[in-house]
Amino acid sequence: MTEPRALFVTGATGFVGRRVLACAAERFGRVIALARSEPADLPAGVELLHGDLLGPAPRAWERALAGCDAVLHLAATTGKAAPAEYERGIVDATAALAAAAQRAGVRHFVYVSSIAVRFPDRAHYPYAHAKQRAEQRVRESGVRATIVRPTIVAGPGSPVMQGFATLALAPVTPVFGDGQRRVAPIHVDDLAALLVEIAAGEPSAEPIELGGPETFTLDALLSGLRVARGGGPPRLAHLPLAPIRALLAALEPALRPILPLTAGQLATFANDGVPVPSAFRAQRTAALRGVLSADAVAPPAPPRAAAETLRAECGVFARHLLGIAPSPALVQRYVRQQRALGLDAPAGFDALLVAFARRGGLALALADSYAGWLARRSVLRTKLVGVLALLETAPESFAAVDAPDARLAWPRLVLRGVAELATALVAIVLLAPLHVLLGRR
Amino acid sequence: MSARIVVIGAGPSGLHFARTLLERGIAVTLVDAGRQRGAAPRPELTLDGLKRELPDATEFFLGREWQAFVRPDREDEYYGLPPAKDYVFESAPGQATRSEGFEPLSSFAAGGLAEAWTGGSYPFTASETRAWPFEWAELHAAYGRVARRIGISGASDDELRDVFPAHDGLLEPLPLDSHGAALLASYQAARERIRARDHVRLGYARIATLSRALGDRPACHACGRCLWGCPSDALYTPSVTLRECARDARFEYRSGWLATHLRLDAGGRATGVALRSLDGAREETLAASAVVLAAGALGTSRVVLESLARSGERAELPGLMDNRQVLMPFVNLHLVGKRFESASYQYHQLALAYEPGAPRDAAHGLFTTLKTALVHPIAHALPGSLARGLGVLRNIHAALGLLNVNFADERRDDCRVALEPAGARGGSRLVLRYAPDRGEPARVGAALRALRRMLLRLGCVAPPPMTRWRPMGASVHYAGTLPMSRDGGALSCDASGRLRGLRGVWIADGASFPTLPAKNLTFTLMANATRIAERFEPSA
Repeated sequence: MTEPRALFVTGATGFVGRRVLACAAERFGRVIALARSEPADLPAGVELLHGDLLGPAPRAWERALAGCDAVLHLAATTGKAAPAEYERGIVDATAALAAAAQRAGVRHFVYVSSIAVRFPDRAHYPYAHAKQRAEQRVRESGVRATIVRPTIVAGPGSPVMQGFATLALAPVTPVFGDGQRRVAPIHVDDLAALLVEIAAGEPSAEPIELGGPETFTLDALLSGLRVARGGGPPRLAHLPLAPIRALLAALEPALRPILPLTAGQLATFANDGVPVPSAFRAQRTAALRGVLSADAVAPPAPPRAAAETLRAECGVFARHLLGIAPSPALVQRYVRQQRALGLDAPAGFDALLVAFARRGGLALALADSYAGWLARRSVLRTKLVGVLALLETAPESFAAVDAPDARLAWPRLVLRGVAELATALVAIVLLAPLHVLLGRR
Repeated sequence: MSARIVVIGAGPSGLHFARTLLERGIAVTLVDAGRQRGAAPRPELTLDGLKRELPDATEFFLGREWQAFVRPDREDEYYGLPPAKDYVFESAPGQATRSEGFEPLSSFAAGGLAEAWTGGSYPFTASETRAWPFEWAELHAAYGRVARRIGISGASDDELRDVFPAHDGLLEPLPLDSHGAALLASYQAARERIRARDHVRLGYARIATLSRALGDRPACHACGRCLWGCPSDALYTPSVTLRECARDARFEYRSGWLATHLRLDAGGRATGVALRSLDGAREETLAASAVVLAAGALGTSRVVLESLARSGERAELPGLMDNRQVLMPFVNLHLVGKRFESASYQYHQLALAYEPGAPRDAAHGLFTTLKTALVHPIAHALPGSLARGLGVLRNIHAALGLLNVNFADERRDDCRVALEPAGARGGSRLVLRYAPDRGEPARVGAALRALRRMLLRLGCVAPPPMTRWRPMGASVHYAGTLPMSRDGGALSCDASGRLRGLRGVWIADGASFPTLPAKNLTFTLMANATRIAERFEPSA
């Protein structure tokens, strides 16, 4: 057998892509990673290529394809996106890459699709439809290809499992539908290793479906996840699936950014997500990792906010507290302070409250009020206090921190009290349910 | 045998003991860890001047490591400790402590914990020292001698004159700031009621801050920097006395050393002191004909217990005392919406005595008008949003005050200091156990209710949720582990401070106090050490 030469990986900074990079060197002499952003940690030897599959011609990645033995195409639009974005980020991008690989004479093109393409019930699920069309484009391109359909990808930091964990750790776990649909999540390290192995091998005419060693009903998965994350004995509440999907689908066009989940994501609750048996999988199942061990269910490390984000929030918070714009020196200190005190990577409800507060204006007033009554130890309140500590020790603002209102101090005090009660009321109605849902970790 | 007199500890007790011996013409060696205070930046600036002109005022006020930033997501006090005073509380190796019901502080600074004190100088009365084995007149004379040395401002003829007896060396009070003046005026208007119904009397505080120049120290010029470190030494700290001692050729200062234990001969006589360098790298023995322990009640107890342990004796020292302190923030409604003065004396200007009847129930309170502490810890202690909390605070800042209430303590058997083995190589650690007496909640609760009522009569509101009981140990008035008595057994002291059970060992600090009234003890530490030194006869 000849030693494969180079592997071209897209989606290299994603959840699966990072693990692929970590193990690709075992089978490939060269690894070229295409990414739109700078990854935090790149394994030694991996060649990073900046670029976008749909970027303007001439595309540097097309030239890089020329010397490659195999392509592992992981990049995809995920999460809460509009149907047109899925179409572009999945179908168009895949078609472009497959065509380029064909022209470059790539030996083996591996397309990482999703088990969802053969869900019988794909109502309101543009992601699954896009994946299916992308598979079709790969077949049409003429490139020698294998289509791989993983199930739910688990493991530390898994976004899907984190979504399930959020449900599982609520005081009562909501289960959409009867909870009897079956899933077989696969550990991300196993998936990464199998993908590299497939890429190194010969193309397969039949799609390969990849799942984990165990099959769970959703009830069992959510209960197991709750126990594994220290959430105590499971308490499940089964909710009617159809009306919730319909409601979400109706709200999505207008409210997509703030909805906690999408109608499409609920397809998991309506379909069995278990891979069809294959010889490839049968030979390897015994060696696969479990997905509910303490390691595998670790929550993702929350991302550290960029300096630019911190600088922006400092300005917003300072204006909120004192009505003045902070000096550049104060803003610099704020970034240092937030990093030093570990306030730059909030998680769970903390992250939501901070993100909400960054919008400034009424959103910040509500978030501050909520933090003042029901989340006094929240990261948001600590951040606001951090800004105040800087304002009171800065030459341009210390006097303002102490200045009483010019007149009518008493009526203004009363007014502040009334206004506070009003905002607190609205803030609690709006944010308390999310706090209950996301509060426990 | 060496004729060296060795004093251990350069806190208020050790320094005033040494100073008194030097004044008697007797040579003395002082051993101390001796961490030094850094220079105060720009001493000519006021507090606002610092904020305006320092290149990085944030670092000065909040600290390089943000140590004075008080986070709302942690249990903290109302104020961040000024970073400039961190050195006072910095720990030292080999001084491990385990404690139950007690949160001890210790200091390895030249000058001791009193380097970070607030200057309250309150003489104990004859009745408060009834259990002490000597005439109060001796202590009274020593108060005068110390006051002449350090300078104490305060009134001797106001309503508190029988609570704070007059003594020599008193200077006129510092001028009151507008809040202090307003409180005193309100008190005078409601005095009869407050005295009769709340059992409270109010008057000038006694503070070791100069209202007029003394020696090379200038009078306080109200720069407002007290909390952040007095830049002029107008506020006395023991390091002033250390400097004075150092001018005497008979004074030998060995800093950078921790005294670990005493070298004892077969007859239990101290022949020297075992020292370990502060970095733990070197050890040596300092020969001595007399050893005077003044390392603070806990430090002194540690040295005594370690010395006994090394001669095979495991002892426990009962009777650990400390003042319970309660912090009661209040708002003076008369001053809402007023501008506040940052350039004024920041510590206690007024004091009060609460005397409902039985001496055990008495309390002693100090008013701070709370202006130049950091704002953010107070703002986030208020209910509701931070923006509105700050809006409220801006309007009540001048009206804020803090009543710091001290309660008496007495020696009890279940409050003890002991030593236990720790670490692999024969090390040990101090074990502190403290249990408040059963009557405390009722006693303190009654006092707090009376004080809250009294504040209301002054036009001040003290919201109960803001009142904070500080943990035992927080007031750092430790005492009572080697108490003076007329005829006690081993490990007690006689009236001259000589420790029974060992020979050639004197106790000159709070360990020898047999009682602890509801007052700051620092002035009495200095006075009692002075009194012992006045009568000290090493050869006897």
